[in-house]
Amino acid sequence: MGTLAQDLISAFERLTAEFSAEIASLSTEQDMRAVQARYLGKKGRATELMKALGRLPPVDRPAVGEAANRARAAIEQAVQARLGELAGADLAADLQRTLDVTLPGRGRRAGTLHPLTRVRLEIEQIFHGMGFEVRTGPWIETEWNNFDALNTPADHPARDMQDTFFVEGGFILRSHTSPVQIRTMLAGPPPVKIIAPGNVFRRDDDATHTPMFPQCEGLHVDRNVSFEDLKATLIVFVQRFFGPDTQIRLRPSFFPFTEPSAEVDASCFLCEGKQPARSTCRLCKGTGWLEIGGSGMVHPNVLKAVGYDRYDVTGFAFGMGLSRMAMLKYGVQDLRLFYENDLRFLCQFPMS
Amino acid sequence: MKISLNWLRELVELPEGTELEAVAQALTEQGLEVEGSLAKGRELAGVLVAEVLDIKPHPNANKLRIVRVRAGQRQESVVCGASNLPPPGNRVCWAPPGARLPGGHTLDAREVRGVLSPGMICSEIEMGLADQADGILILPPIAESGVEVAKYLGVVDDVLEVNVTPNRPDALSHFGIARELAAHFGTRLKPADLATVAEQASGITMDVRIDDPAACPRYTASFVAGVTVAPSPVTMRLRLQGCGIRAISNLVDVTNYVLLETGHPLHAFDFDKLAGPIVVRRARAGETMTTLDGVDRVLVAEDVVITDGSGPVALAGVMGGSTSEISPSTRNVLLEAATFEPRSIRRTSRRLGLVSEASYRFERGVDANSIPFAAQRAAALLAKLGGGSVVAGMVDRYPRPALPAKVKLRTSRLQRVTGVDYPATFARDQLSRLGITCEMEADGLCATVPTFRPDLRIEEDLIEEILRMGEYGKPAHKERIRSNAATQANPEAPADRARALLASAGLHEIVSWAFVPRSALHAVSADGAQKELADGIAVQNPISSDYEVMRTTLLPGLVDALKRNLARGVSDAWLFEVGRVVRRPAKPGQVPVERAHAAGLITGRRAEWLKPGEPVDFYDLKRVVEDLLRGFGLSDAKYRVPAGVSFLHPGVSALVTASTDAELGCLGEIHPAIARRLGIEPRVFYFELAIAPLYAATASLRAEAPPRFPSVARDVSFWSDVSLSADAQRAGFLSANEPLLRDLAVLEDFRDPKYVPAGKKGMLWTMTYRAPDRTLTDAEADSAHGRVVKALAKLHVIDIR
Repeated sequence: MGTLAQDLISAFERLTAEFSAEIASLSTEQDMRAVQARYLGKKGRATELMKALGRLPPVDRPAVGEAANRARAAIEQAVQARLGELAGADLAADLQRTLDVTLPGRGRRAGTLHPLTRVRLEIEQIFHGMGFEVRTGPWIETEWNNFDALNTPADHPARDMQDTFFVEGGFILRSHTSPVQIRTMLAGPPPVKIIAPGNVFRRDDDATHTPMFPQCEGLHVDRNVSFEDLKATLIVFVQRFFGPDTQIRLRPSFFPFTEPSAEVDASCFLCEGKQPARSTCRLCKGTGWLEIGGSGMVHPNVLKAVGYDRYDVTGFAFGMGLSRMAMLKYGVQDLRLFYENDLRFLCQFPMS
Repeated sequence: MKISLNWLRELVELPEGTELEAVAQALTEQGLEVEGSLAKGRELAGVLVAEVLDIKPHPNANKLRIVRVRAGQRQESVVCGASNLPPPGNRVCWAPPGARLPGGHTLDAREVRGVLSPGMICSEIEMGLADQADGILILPPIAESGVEVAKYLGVVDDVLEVNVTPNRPDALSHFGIARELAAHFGTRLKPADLATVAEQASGITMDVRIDDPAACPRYTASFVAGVTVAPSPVTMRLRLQGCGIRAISNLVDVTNYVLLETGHPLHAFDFDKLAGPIVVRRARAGETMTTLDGVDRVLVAEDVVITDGSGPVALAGVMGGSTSEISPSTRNVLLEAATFEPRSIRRTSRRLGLVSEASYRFERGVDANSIPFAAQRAAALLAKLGGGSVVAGMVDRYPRPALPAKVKLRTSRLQRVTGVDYPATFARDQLSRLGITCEMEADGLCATVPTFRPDLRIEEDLIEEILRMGEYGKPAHKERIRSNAATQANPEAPADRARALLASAGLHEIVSWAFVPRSALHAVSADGAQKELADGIAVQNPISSDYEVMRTTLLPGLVDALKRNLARGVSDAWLFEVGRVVRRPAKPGQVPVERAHAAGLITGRRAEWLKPGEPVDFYDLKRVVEDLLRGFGLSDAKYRVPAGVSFLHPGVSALVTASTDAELGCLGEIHPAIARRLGIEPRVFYFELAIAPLYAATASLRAEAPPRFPSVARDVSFWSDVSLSADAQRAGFLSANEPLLRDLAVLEDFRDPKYVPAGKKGMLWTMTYRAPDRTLTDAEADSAHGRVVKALAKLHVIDIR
């Protein structure tokens, strides 16, 4: 190889080193490409060097050409390396940013659902899972639907159990959601498997009673529906609502529209009925049990009133006060809080 | 009903060691819920029965005496100021030092006018046994000296509050409760203590006639002669008081005592004040009588009265009359024990507002067949306590004796209703515990139900009795749940959807009363200008004027909640309620119309980040309404002015309608005059929409794939008259029917008077143009935009900037 060829090859090698030194202080790609053009462009130093190629013996040309290509590649590589270095530095700098993650989020917060709505939705969902349909009915009812059809004739002391509001036009405000049962059974033949949530009205207004309150009743009428089915339905309900270890206790009672009738208690989920926690339990007041509602087998007179064959079908019904359920579920001590609509109370019930 | 545990123990054997809690639990399990209990007499401790040995005057005081008493081995001299000190040999109640009296007072030795007195001699008041007393309590000489007074009198007792359901008249007495306990524990009732007294072979008597056997199935009259009216013994008075009945005198107290014991209401007449004979009949309309409480009563034809020839002497089953009332001079007594038809007693008692222990039991049903027992018991006690004698021969009128009911029970029915394969013999054994005898039959049994259980008439009644004895508590089997799918939609779903949408929009749900004061509706309807709001359906027996009429709008409840929160220092309130309103029906006599509404109000400031936001305005509210409507699939609702809603600001409100023009509701600022009347200071923005038309207008959702070609935006800026609404401008642009126009929106509505001529506003719109099949060129977009702007300019005067 001639001297000229060797000079050219080392010139190309120097070119690379000089380029790298020159761009080491640059921080943008644009600046680097401008320098690159001075080395590799049409009038760049590499082009200048290549002009000497014609003066080389043919045998030396490939080696010099290779050196030129190496230099081009090395220069591009140097640009990329520098760019990568810069990006890394940018990233590192960017990663230095911090902020106070404990400040609140921006924008308006979501609102809330009333606890009585929440508890109703949950109860509806549980019974829906057991095949109960939701039915509703009017607040303004006839005495027949509210009492007579429910085996509670006028002049019967059982009517005293619910002090009723009368409205003009000879109607009453329903004192329970049971008229929905009557309406549903009048509307079609058995089987009927419904729950009826809704507001009811009684002339009571004190620390533990409000003149309007939400109730949820259930009714299942079919062939061979028994007291055992009632028990089973209630146990599934309380275990899903209060927790899987909850037990129920049925106590004999009296409602005109059911026979046999039973009060329903759920075992206290706070003390679990176990001593010593039970004796000081504020929720169940030491009894180990929480009253949650009434229930029973639909009275034959009720089936008769709606034209069902009382020898062919049987049924059970149950009912509970939703305010009571919400008090138990959310640990609310004072019933009146549900109707005060104080935002500081309501804000505790996010949508779920 | 109040039940004394001591009294129960006299009537029924209880298993060894059965205390209050076990009794309460047993009754509760039997269906006679014990709602609580009151421990009596625990505060009285250390007061002793003491014999009076002698009485000496006090050296320094005229009215005081020094009484030497002996209690067991102890002898002390006690200073006493009572005027009724008994002669030596009698017994008094001595509270020695260390004794405790109700109210936490502990006795010590104290000087009384210079004489040391170890403790004191007590009256009933001091021992907490009575509210009033004449001097100290004197006990008979048979009381053993040295015994604790509390023990001697049996004041240590527990009184249970038992909730007896209206179907169980048989349980409205100590005897009835004792019967339940015997059935529960499998123990025996104790034989009745019929105090035996010498009967007088003949003497006073009076005939009795029942004119209306339907109203009075049985009437008995017993006669007790030669009695003296006096206070009852302290033990009887204590029992009555414990059960909530005031002691009056021995004759009256006995009737109440036997009532509490047996459940039979009784009435004692002063025999000498009766003209006789007794006739039981329906009252004559307009007939009058004065009842025991001194009130003159005008009777109606369905009332039942006891008459003596001179007129009514008692309002049957409800209250006695004043003319034949027991008085201190009463010597001879006619004791009435009877039954009356429950419904007429109930009507009379309701009509006169007179609810007595007697009427309460009669309207639930009193057993005619156990009357003789109650009458004998009472007559004997009257004679014993009054020092008289019972006249032989009770007059008894009982034209149609009640017979035990026969009720059949098929084993198949028992098994079907209970879901358990109980054998018939099990049913028989369970029923026999309750005193119900059964004959076995091929398909079940036939029960003979005692007449004191009028609630057992059909198979299901017997089934409850069978289950009641321990079967209710048996565990349930979850695998019985047969869930068949619910097929009908939940009718509450639209309302619940509105709730979820409004809560997502940042509002908080409230619940308010369905009834409101009439004045509230008057205010929101601008004094009745909006009739359908003002004219609510009235509640005829409201608890108070706060609840006198059914709400016609949700506004009063929301305003109420807002005011409460403002008063408590909450200034940003976004509230909503979803609930029913009630409107007057189209025609009188029809059922009032109930409609579900969604309403909300907002006030306060916008949520800015870490700094106070601007006050909310109409458009914050409109976003809420738009999102609610979108949630129901309504993106093309219209906003109409004027709204013409009485409670909204006429210039800052609109009616909301669906694109079909179906009215949905309204929104706007609360009318300032009405806000002032309602007592709200800040600006409040309110909407109310009906749920049903919202739901009905819901269109099925159709979705498009995202566009494949890019769109081009073009803006237009111009002056227009202030009155030219954004909707009108939009309609103007759209009248071009430009197929490339895909979307348009207002970017600015500029009204700063510094830059904008009076009566004008500066508008900036942005339009989006797109073709479905190609990328638009600038020239295509420009020409389409030109056509769109020209369309508006053709319809309205605008000044392009």
